[in-house]
Amino acid sequence: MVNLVEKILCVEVLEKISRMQRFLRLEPEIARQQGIEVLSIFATAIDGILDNLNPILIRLSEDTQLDTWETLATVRRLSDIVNSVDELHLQLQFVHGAWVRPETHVFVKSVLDFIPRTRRQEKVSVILSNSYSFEESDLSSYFEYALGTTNVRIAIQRETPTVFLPKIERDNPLNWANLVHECGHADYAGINELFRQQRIIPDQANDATKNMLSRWAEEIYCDVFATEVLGPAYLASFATFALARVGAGGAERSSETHPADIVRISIVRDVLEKNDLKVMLNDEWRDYGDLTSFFYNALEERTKLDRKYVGYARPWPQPSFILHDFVDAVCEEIDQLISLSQQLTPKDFTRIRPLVVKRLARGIPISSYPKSELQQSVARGSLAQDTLKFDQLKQAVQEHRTLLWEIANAGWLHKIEILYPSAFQLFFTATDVPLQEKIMNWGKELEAIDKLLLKSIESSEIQRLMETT
Amino acid sequence: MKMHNDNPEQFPNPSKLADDAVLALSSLERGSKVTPEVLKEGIKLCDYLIHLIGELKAPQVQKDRWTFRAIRDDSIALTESGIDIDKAYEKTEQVKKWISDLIEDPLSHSREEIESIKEHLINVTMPMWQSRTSEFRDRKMKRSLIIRG
Repeated sequence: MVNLVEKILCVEVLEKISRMQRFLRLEPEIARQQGIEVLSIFATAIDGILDNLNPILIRLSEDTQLDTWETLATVRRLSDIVNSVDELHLQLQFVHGAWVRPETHVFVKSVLDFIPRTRRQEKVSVILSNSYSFEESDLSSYFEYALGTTNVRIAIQRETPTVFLPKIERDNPLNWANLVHECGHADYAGINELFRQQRIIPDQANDATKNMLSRWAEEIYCDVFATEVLGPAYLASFATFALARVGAGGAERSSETHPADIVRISIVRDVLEKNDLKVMLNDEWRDYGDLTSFFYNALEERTKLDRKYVGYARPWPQPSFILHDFVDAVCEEIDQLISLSQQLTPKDFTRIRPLVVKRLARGIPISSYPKSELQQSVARGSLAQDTLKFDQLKQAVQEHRTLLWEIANAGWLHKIEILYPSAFQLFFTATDVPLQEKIMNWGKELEAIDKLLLKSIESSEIQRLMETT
Repeated sequence: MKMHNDNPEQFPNPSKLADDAVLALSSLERGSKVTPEVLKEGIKLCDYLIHLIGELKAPQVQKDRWTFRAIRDDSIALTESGIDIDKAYEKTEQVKKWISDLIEDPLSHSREEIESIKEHLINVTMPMWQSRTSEFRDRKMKRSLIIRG
């Protein structure tokens, strides 16, 4: 497929815009009436962003390979447009908005269950954030810090681990995958244990570097945590987030708080490969391999372009240590320490395609899947003849509960195999239909799949509650 | 009433003008019809670049606060990129002339010449775009020093 990376990037931007439109529609009726002018400014701003996007969509509709300079022009414009959506997201502070969904709390609770009971937090709160960032903070100490800057000291004196979800991702379970990384930050005991391992930070490093490396080690811990909880779905979600930020050397640029995205995604890929956690794409996408390779290669392709043509004119602090050695040392320690209470296995992944993905494609929630061996026995009639096996018969007709990571991975597969082609057809085919109308139709499609995934989480939770009571 | 958009700092946006012009020039190469307005944006960009690089070669005119800041940031980005100022000035003048020719007659320049226009527009504006993008990113990053991302 020509210009695949640019098309994916375009569709991801359009999805964010569509989600913002949907979030604005969630405004309560009374607030809508009173804030009609405010909402109309958002609508006009979104139209303006779409106008900027339109020339790129028209070019990609031609379906001929972009030349080098066109590619650079296209990705620069897309990067600017992503930043404009990011900036507009910040202005969502001016609308009343909506509260966090109950399904998000179920999702976060299921993630915490992966942390062994001895070091698990009782509760991690979820906040919808104006900033388009997935974040974690101990809210109590943050409040103490925030008020402290005004010379007023308060002492809340309790831990309140909290994760921040961007407002427009409120209904999008596929990008809640990034929240799993944030929940890793709330594994305070695990992270403190990591910091106690002295060999990860080089002795010769100065204080500033030691501080930076500690932060990086924590980030890597959270990436490994999220990968072990969700498998390739975490890489998919993180990669699309990183892809949108990749411009101007972004993917290869580390900061005081985070290693470079390309380093992080390589670590995630290594963990997946080591554990053989793979979800293959269907025949139409065979050339792109599996879910991991698909997104890893997309990010790598974009990064290569940056590396070749974008000179890094403004220098940023280059750490004076060998990144490889640091990453290896941290990963080795994490391997020993992380010991989650549940472990995904390659066998678990074999049931995603035949059972979960097919149901999703037919519009059926994927909260459960059949117990195939028992069902075959039922079909043969061998169980029905034996009344002593009634319990087995009952179990056979009651399906297995689908777990969180299965829903996330099936959702991502569905996105690549069904939603992307549908979006490519809609946005990259030259027609007279205005972009505003196209994005409205795309929004309906997104809403339908969101509802299916949310229903799946809800039903799976109901089944869990029934099984445990 | 306080207006927030009344300073010329936001104008011009060199990388946007360059990107639009590059996409239009590529259409021209493929034989598609291009509205002259888009190519005129390319001329506007060249005028800005000639002014900017001219200032780097020989600073002269006193500017108002906003214009000064916009030009200063783009100047710093260009200077730090290590770009050859004299060559960039000459090439920009040539590119401006060629784009004017193309507006008059889409067949006035060869494919190779159009390629060299595109290359120049992208390369010369890359440091400015990168500088603005990095600034945006740095602003975001400051927040994650307090709240973990």
